[in-house]
Amino acid sequence: MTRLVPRSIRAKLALYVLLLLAVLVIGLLTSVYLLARRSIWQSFRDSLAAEARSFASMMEYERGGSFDIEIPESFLSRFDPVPGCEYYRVFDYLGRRLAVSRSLQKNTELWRPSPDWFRKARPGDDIFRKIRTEGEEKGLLTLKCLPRIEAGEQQNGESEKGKKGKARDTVSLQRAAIIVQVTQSTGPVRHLLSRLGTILLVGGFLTLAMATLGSRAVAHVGLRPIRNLASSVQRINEHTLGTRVPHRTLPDELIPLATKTNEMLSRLEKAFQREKRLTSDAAHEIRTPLSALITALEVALRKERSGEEYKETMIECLSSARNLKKLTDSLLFLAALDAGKVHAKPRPVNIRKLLDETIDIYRERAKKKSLPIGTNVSVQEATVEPDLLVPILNNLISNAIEYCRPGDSVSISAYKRASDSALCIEVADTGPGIPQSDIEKLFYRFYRGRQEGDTDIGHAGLGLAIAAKAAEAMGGRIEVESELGKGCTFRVVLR
Amino acid sequence: MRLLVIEDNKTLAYSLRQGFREEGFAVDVAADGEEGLWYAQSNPYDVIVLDLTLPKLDGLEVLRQIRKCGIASHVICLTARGATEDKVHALNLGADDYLAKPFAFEELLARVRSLCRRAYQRKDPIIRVADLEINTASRTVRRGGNLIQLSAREYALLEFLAFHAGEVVTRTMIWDHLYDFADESTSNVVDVHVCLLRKKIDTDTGHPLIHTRRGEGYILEDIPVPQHVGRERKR
Repeated sequence: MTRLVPRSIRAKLALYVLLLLAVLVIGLLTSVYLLARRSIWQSFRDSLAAEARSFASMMEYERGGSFDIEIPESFLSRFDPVPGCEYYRVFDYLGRRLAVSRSLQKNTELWRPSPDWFRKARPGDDIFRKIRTEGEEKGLLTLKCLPRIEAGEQQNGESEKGKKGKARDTVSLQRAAIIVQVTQSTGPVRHLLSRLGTILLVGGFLTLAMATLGSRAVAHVGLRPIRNLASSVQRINEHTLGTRVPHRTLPDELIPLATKTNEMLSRLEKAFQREKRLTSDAAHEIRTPLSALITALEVALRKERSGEEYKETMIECLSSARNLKKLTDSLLFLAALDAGKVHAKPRPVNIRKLLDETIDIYRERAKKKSLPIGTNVSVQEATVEPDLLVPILNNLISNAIEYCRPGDSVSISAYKRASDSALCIEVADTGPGIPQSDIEKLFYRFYRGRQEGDTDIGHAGLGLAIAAKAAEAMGGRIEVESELGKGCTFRVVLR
Repeated sequence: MRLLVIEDNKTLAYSLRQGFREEGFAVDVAADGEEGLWYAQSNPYDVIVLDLTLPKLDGLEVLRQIRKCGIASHVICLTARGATEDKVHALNLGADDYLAKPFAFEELLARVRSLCRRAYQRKDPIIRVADLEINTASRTVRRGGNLIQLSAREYALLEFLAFHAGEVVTRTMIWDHLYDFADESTSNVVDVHVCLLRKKIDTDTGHPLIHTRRGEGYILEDIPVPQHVGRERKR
């Protein structure tokens, strides 16, 4: 099925403009034609009336009610009985024929008004009709008018004053009135009208044809800013996200579009950069242990060595390989969390038992750094997903131990928050604390806080990012409070 | 030649130290940027192998500081980031070379040696003093066409003397460039090594090339042998 309305704005605009123009042009030309026709017919009628009046002027009303008719022969030649001739007739007010053209003497009958009209019409009244005789259309004008009136009569009428005289005047004038009928072929008028019609029609078509081209051109020019915008948007790909749509030169209507596009581009660019940085960070984290592994093996193989030396190299390599495995696991888990593939299946868990078991793993490490770990659990059982909660706790506890200085302490507590009855598990330490400006960065991937002393390569800066994501997967979050030099508190809040 | 390896990955740093030591380099290792910068400022290293991702002080910052202090050591950057802008940035900050992780140790070694030659304005890998020929690329030494087997340390000493051929090399220079912090700092260790080298280079010929300048140090130079010295020896 073909569409009635085209898809492109340009074609649509052109079509609408054209339709509007067509209506306007047709309306205008039609009214011009109608007005012209009216005035042409009017002037035709006027010329007939003038002719009729000239007949009347050639008649004189004489005293005694008779008419003196003096029509010059030259005037009458038009009314000779030949094909296409014209007619005239003159009646008195009673409908008696006073004069008739020669062309009418052969029984040709013309339309005549009713006898009533003959009597009652006022001088100057006329009737215009179109008649058809001998296969030709003619205009027939029937005019009631006054002929010339003999001077004496007129003087008489004027000299006699008073109501009676005036009434008699009217009566005599009514008697003097004659009715003239004249015909004239409508051929020239119709010819004129048809020529006018043709001119207007052709003109209208030409106008519309030009309007078609014009409207396309106007639409083309009018849509240039949109095309420019479209082409500058089209040029943007993932490598040129830094470019912005120029919006200063755009018309007002398009500025919001360009501004929004630019805002979206900025967000996209940021997301892309973050993505790029993440990929490059991940690559870095993988390449470093990989590089260590390769170099250790290459150096070991450069010459014959003792079994002890080989063993040492193998231990080094194993530790690098383990780091790689740990990193890969973390990245895969994070990817699964990102993709929403990790679903929490909460079940009732004894929180005290879960915490005790988790903390037990770290007792030895804490003891080495002489860090006491205290617990304060006021929740017995809660519905949680231990497979997600335990990694979070592992991360928080190992971080606390790692960043604390010897002599600090770590305390772990679980409770229901009074305000919203959310389950809170807190890991608080009295360690060096975190500057306020760094708290947000803690959850960035591959972000590592400043660490005094030894730098453990086993930790890539993914732990808190994973913990935050895992908490999110359980419908919770991690809150951080810290005061520099006094320690910090990480709180897992689960609703 | 003395190297400084600034690398936070312990396994990698350890392997590099071992690999370079076995090739006759004196190697010091720093595990973070601050330590690395301190090492670089306190010893005249011939080449610094600098990892760009370091704790405490970023590798690029270490590089900037090194150049700011006017330390002339050649720097080769190691990084796990392959991005071109990182390379360009590092080179613009005054790095002499750049190697992406993971790299082949052989390649790093070749690049470090090339930087060492550049440090002594030598483009030709073969140094000739009289009939002594030292190939710094293949690390082989010939005297009069005969191949001489040297230990890594002896070779390094000969190469160092050869780089300064015709100039007096003091004991301190040798100590600074050929021994790292892990070496036993006994006062005569340099003399012992020079003595061992002399035995292999100069013994069977009547034309010694390594000379002792009393109170100054040593010089590798082609000095025509005075006749009476020859006679003394015969006696």
